[in-house]
Amino acid sequence: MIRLIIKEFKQLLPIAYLWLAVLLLGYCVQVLTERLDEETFSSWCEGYCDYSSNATVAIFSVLLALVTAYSLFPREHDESTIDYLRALPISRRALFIAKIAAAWLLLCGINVLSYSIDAVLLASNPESIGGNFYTQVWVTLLWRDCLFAFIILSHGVLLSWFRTLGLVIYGIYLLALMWAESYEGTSGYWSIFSLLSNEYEGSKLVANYQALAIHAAAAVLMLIVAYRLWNRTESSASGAQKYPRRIRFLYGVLSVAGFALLAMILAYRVGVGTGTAVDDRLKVAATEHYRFVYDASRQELVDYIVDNAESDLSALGQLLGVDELPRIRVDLSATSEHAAGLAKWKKIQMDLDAFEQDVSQRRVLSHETTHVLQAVESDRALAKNYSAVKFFIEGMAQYTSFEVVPEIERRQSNWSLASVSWKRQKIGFDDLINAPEFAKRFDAELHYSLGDLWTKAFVETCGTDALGNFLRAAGRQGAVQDLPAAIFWRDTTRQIGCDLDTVNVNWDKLMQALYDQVDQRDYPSYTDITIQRNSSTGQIRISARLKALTQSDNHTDPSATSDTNADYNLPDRFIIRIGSVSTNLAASVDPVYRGQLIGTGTDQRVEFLVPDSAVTGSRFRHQLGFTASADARYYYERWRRGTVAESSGQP
Amino acid sequence: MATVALLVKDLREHRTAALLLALGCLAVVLLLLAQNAQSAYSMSAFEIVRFALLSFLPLVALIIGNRLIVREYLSGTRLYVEALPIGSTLPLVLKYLLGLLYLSFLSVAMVLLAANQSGIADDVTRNYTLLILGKTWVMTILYWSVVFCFSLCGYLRIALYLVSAALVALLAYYPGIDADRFPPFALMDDQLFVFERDSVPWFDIGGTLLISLVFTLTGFLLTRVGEGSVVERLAKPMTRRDFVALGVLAFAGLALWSALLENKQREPVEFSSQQVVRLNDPSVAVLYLDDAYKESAQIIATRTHDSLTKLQATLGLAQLPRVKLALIPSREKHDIDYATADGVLISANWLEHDSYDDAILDSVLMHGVLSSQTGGRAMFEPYHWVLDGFTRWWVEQGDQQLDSQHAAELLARALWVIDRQPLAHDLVQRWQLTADQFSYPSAEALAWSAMTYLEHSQGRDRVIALALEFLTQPIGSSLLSTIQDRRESVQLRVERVIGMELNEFYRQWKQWLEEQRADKFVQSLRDTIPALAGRVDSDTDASGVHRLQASYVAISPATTDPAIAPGQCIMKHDYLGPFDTEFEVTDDYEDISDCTIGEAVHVVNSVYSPGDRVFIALDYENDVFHQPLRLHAERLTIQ
Repeated sequence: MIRLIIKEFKQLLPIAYLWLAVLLLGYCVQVLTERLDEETFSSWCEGYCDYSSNATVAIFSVLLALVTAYSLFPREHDESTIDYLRALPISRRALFIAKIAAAWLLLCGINVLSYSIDAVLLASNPESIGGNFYTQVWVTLLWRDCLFAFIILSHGVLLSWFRTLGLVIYGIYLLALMWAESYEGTSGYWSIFSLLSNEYEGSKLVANYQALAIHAAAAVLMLIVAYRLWNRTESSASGAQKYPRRIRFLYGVLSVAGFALLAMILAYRVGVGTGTAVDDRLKVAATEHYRFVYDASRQELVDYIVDNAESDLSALGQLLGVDELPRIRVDLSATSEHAAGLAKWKKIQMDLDAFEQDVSQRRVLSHETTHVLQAVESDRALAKNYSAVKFFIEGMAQYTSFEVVPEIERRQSNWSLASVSWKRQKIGFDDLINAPEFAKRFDAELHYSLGDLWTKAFVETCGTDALGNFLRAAGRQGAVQDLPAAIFWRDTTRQIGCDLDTVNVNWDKLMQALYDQVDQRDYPSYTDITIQRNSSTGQIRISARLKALTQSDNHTDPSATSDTNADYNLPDRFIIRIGSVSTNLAASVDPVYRGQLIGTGTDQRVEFLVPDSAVTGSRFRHQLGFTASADARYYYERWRRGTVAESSGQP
Repeated sequence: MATVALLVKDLREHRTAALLLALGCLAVVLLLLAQNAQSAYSMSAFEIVRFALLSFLPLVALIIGNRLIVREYLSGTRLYVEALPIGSTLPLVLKYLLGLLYLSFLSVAMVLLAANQSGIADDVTRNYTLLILGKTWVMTILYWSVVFCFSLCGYLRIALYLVSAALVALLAYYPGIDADRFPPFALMDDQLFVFERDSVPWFDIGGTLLISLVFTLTGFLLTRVGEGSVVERLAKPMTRRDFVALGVLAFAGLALWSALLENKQREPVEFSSQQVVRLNDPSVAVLYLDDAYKESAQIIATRTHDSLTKLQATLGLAQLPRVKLALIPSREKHDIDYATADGVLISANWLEHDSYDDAILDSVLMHGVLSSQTGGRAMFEPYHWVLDGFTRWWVEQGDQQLDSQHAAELLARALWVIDRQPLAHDLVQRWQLTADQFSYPSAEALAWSAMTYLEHSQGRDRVIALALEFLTQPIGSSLLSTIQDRRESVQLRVERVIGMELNEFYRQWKQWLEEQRADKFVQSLRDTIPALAGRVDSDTDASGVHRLQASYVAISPATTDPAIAPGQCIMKHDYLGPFDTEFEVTDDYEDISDCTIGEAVHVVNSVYSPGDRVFIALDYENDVFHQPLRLHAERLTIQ
C-alpha cells in the first residue's frame, strides 16, 4: 500500500509543484515587502484567526483541495491509464484509498510546510510581548486545516465524477449558503465555512468540534459513494463513451435538479417578508420634478406630501447649491420591515406606515431626496467611499430634512440619545469614519443622529454652501480614489477651504452642550447580567437589572458606577441585539429580540428569551438597549461578549 | 442550402441542452423576480436583469461556447465540416450568429419578463424599456464575443478566462482606477443601469460594442492565421506542465498586483485653513482655529521648527517629514493624538501647558519624526528605548539647558520603576514589558535617565552616536533589509557605541540612578508616590453575574491609613484580543476613586464574561506628577 501511495504521490508531483510554487510566491512577496522579524502572532493570524470565520480566506483552501481532487480520477479515465492500474494485482479499493491518501498527504504536507515556515519566521521576532508564540493555536489551526482539506478533498473526489457539472453543483451549494446567511442569518452546520470558525477562551483556540465531526463523517460517506461511482466507470478506451446516455441523462436530471433547488430556495423566500400594494389600488400624482405612485387609501396624506414636495425640493436644492434639480420617481406604496425610506439614484421608495405623523412622512421624503441629490451632485462618489462617509450621507440627509421640515421634538430626542451615546461610549470622529468598525462597537443607527449633529457643526464652521461644495469636491474630475478614510476627509475638506479639525472641535462642543441638558434618569444602565441556556425549551435566557446612572466627572465608565438609591425613569421597551453567527459569506442582519420586565420592586429585572439557534457554541456578542417611548429610537449600550451557562431546569 | 443544413445540424445536436438551459434560466429569472417583488430593499424589477448579466448570463455564454465551438474543435469533428465544399468561414459565422441569437433571446426574454413584473411605480415606458433592452443586448454581445474568441483558443481558453477575470478585477478594484467612468463597467453601473432613464449612455454603448468587435474579429482572424494551424495547435491537450506554468503565471500576476496595491503613492495632504502658521525647511504647520490662539501657535511653530532644524543638523538628516500640529482646545492637556501615515500629524491642546507638558508634546512630535525617518523600525522593541530615551533627552537637554524640576520628576519616576521592577533595567530585551507594566511615560523616563547617564559619563557625543546608530537610517521593508539591520546583535551595536559591555553600563547607570535618590527634589517627589500595589479579582457569583473588582494593598508595613494617598486611583480596562501585542489602554473605560486600602475600590459589573481577555491598569494621579503612575497592570483571562 505504501508503495502504491508513493506511486500516486509521484503522479501528483506536478500539482505539488504548483502548490509549492504558489507557496513560494507568497513567501517571496512577504520577503520582499515585509520586515519579517516584526511579524507578531496576531498580525500573522489576522483575517484567519479572528473571532467567527472568514469565508474569503477559506475559499483559497477550498480551491486548493478541489483542484487536487479533480486531478485524481478524471484524467486517469480520459487517458485510459486507469486500465493499466486496474491490470495490476491490487484491489480497486486499495487503488482508490491510495489515491485519496496520496492527495490528502500532499495537502497536509503543504499545510505542514507552510505552518512550519511561519513558525520559524515568527520565532525571529525577539520582542518580549509581540514575539509570543501560541503553540496551542498553531497546532489546532494545523490539524484543523488538514482535516478541512480531507473534507473538501472528499467533496472534490465525488464532484469530479460529474466533471464540470460537479463544479456547478458546488456553485449552487455555495449560492444556497449565501442565501441562508442573507436571509436566515446563518447557514448552520450546512456550511463548510463553519468548520473554520474561531472562538477563544482566553488565548486558547476552541475549534468547532461538532461541525468538524459532522462534516468528517459526511466526507467519509461521500468517499464511499465516490468509490462506487468511479469503480463502475470504465475508461474512455474501454469502449465507454465520454458522455454515455445514462450520464447524459443524469446530467440532464442534475441540471434540472440544480435549477429546481435554486428555485425552491427562491420560492421559499417568496412566502416570507413583506408585500406591496395591489396595482389596481395605486394612483399617480405628478409635480414638476416628482412622480408619485401611492395607494388610493392614503389620499389625504399623499395630498399633503405632494402639496409640499416642490417647495421642499427647492429648499433642499438651495441648501445644497444644486443648479439643476433632477426628476425623481417616488413609490409611496412600498412596505418594509427595515427602513422608512430608500433612495437609489433618482428613485425613492417609502413606507407610509413607518411613522404616524404626516409631517414625519414629509420629512422622510426630504431625507430620501437629499440622498438623490447627494448621488447626482457627487456623481456617485460618496457611495464609492461609503465606509468613510456613511455617517455624513445619513447625517446630511437628517440635517437637511430637519432644516426643511422641522420636527423639533423628534430631532431633540435623537440628539439627546446621540449625546448620551457619544459621552458614555466615547465616540470620536475616527470612529465615525469607519462604518464597519463602528457597527462592531456601537449601534449603527447612531450614524443618523450623530451624523446630523456633525453636519450641523460642519455647516456652522464652514458655511451652508459647504454641504453642496463637499459633494461636488468628492465627485470632481481627478479626485484620487480609495484614499484612506482620514486622508479622504482631509483632502476633500481642503478642496472646499474648510478645516476638518475646526469642525471636529465645534462638534465636540455641541455634543457636550447637548449632553449637559439631558436628564440622565431617562438613560439607566444594564447591570447584573446573567446568561443561561435552557436546553429543555431551546432558549437562552438573558436577564439584567437596570440601574440609575448619575454621571459625574469622576466616573466615565457606566459599568463601574453604581448609585442604587438614585431614581431612573423606567423605559417603555427593551431590546437585545445578537451578533449574527454568519460566516461572512454574505451580508446578514443581526437579529433583535424584545425583552420584558419580570419581578417587582427591587427584584425587578429585564428578561430576554433568545432562540438557541441564534447562538453558536457558548460565546456570542450582544448589545442591550431600550427606548423611553414607542416613537423614539432605541438606545443601545456597547457590544459585549457573553458566555452561556448551561441550565436544564426552569429559571 | 448549406447554411440551412448547418443550422439544422447544430440545432439537432444542441436542442435538448438549449431548451433545458433556456427553461432553467427563465425559471430562475421568474423566481428572482418573484423574490425581488417581496424583498425589503429591492426598488425595481430591472435590478434582476443587471444581476443576471453579472452572474449567470456569462456562465450561460460559457456553456453555449463550450457546446457550439469548443467541443467541435477539441474533438476534431470540425475537420469533417471543413471538408465540405462550403469553406471554413461560413460554419463559423453561423455558429457565431446562432450563439448570439440564443443569448439575445434569453436577454430579451429577461428584460421583457422584468418589464412585465414591474408595477405602475416603475413607470415602464417604451423608451425606458428600449434603453434597458439596449444596454442588456450590448452586454450580451460583449459576453458572446469574448466567449467566441476564447473558445477558439482550445485548452488555452481556461487560462485566458482566468486572466480576463483577473484583469476585470484589477480594473474594478485597483485604487486610482475609477472603472465606473469607462465602458463596459460604466454601462453596468450599480445605480445608472436601472435607475438612469433620462439620458442614453451612447459613449459607453459605443465603447462596449467596439470591444466586442475587437474580440469577434480576433476570433475570426485566429482561424485564418496559418490556415488554421494556430487553432489546430491550441486544440491539442495541455500538459500538466502547461497547467503548472499557467498557474505560476497567474499567481505571479496576483502577487504583482498585491505589490502594486501596497506601493501606491499619493500626494501629502496639508491644512487648508487660513488660520495656520507655516514655516518651511523643515516644514512645520500649526493649525490654531481661532485668532485668540495665534500667538500660542506661533510660539509652538517656532519652537518646533528650531528644534527640528538643530536635530537635522546634529544627526545629519537630509530630509525630515512634514510636521503638522492641530490645536484642539476641548482636549485634555495630555490627550495627544499622533499619526505618521502622512508626515507627522499631532492633534493636541497645548493652551494650558506648562514647560513639562510642552516637553511631553515635543517628545511625541520628535518620536514621530524619528520613527518616520527609520520607516517605523525605531519602534521595534530592541531599539524602542533608544527612540523614547533620545527624543526625551533631545527635548529636555539636547538643544537647551536641562530644567532641574523636569529632571527631578523624570528621575523620581525612573527610580520608582526600578524600585518596583528591578529587571526593568534591561532596556533591550524587556522594553515592551516595562511599558506594559508601568505605562509609556514611566518607560520613557527610565530610558531618558539612561541617556542622561550616558551623557553624564561619556559626553553628549555618545548619546548622539547612539541615535545615529539606531534612529537615522531608513530600514526597508524586506527580508534583506532586516538581515542587514540585524547582522550584528543589538547588544553588540550598543556596546560598540558606548564603548563598554551592556551589563556594565546597566550596573553603572543603576548606581548613578541610586545616587540621584539623595537629591532632595527627587526624594520629595518620590515620597509622594504611595506604597500601594493593586490587585484585581475576577468573580462570578452564584446567580451568574460576573464582577471585576480592584483593590489596593499596602506594600510597606507603615502604610495602614485607608486613605493613604492624597491623589486619586484610576482603573482603566478594555478588551484584549486573544494574542498579545503592545497595548495602550485608553480612558474609554475608566473609574476614578479615592485610594483606600483593603476594600474593593473599583467594581466592574457584567462588562466581561468567562473566556474574555482584558487589560486592566490601576493608575495613581496626584498634583505633583504631570502624568499618572501605574500601580498595577494585568492581562487577565476571565475565568
